[in-house]
Amino acid sequence: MTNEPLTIESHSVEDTLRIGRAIGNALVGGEVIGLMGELGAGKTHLVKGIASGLGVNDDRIVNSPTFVLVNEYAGRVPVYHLDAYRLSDAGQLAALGFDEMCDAGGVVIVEWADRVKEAMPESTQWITLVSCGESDRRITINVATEAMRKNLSA
Amino acid sequence: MRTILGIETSCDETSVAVVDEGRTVRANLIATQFDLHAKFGGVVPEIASRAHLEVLDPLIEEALHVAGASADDIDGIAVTSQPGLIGALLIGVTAAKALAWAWNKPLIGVNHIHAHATSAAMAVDVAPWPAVALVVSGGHTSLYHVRDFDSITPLGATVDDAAGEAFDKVASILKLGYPGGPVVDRLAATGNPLATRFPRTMFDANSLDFSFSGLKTAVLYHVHGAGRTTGGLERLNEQSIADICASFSAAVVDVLVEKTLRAVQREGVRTVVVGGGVAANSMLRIRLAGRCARDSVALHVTPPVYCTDNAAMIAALGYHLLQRGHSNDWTLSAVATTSQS
Repeated sequence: MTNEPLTIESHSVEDTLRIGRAIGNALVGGEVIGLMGELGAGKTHLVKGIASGLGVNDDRIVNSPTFVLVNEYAGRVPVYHLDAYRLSDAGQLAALGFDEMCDAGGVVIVEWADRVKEAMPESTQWITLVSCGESDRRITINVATEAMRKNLSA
Repeated sequence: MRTILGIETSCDETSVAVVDEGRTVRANLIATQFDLHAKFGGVVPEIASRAHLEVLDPLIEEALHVAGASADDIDGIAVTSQPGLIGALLIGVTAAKALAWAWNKPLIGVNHIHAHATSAAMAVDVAPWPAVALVVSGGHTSLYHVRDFDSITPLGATVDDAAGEAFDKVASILKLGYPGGPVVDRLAATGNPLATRFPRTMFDANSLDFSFSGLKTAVLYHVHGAGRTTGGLERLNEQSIADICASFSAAVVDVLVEKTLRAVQREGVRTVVVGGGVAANSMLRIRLAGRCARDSVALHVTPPVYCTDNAAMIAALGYHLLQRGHSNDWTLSAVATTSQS
């Protein structure tokens, strides 16, 4: 484990999916991931990749939870895919059963997590996506584990 | 077996309805549209299981009152059991079980998306099946082959954003406020749908899946410039914003119409039904009607009042399921959202 942030360049949706898979592969269950990035930055695509890395077979079922708020997928461990875009405060995240999801041994991924920062646990692994061109994205993992680094350098 | 009490608590809305024979709506109350202020002395909070819990009991009482019905008049309790937020669903399911047990009535678990897919039948004299159903809302964009109320097969669904979500996010890009669908629809009527050719994701010729994420991003970059997320909106005048709304709407509607008619052809049916919040979109209604008329396909669009999340459609489908011998025992459980429902 190291505390250095890790930044990876993505040049396409396929790159973003691949990066997501490498991250997902390195997860074991119990992690909470907070995604930050503006509209169109590729958050949902990164989640598709992470879910795939976690053993969710068909990534077509991974879609935006902006309106439904929570999607659940069955992978190696349960995957809870949340979206805080429509939430106005941290209390609303709790009302969705967020704490129970965090304690369920699965992986919890929250899009627009910066909107509910106060409710995110201290152990949250933050990932930021920044657009820097039509299809170029800079993806920064705040605290990248050894396993993630290994997968991402492969 | 004719009068069904319906309960819907799958996401934001708490709703209770009393419906006769799957068609005659005697009451259809939605908490956020109904003045509970006097009863609670406060605003109904959204998106909280607690909110469903607080408003459900009085809403059931009020629905029975509006319908002029008592427990004796009710022949079954229908409740949304999937898909949705697990905590929210559980409140409806638990209440429905308690009522069914106390009143000794059949309990019917209803799939929320199937209720949208069959909601158009509430407004037609003869059940329109077999049909291709397009369910299009903020949370869902899916096609189904409906052979009967209890025989519904998924054909395709969005792989990223729902169409209604794309409308709301484009409204947000253009700073038009929330909910954005109706505003974009209104501005689109004064804009030029051919002003900008936004991408239409069709996948391969056999696919009935949808994707609107790329379209949303294309609108973003059209406004601000490639790879930019700010700075461009100020350059646009009223007419160019209307043109973007129209061109964007045309891209969404083209894909919805094309895929729906593709499904009609593939499944060999002659009828299309449309349900869900985006069914109210005027460009979708006009273009789908035009295309269906051209291809001699019958079209039934759900009346707007039953397009949003509501319990009337739950009671209606519950009635038809009960007619066909379907009911649930006390093991009925709530099932959370997965995109394949």
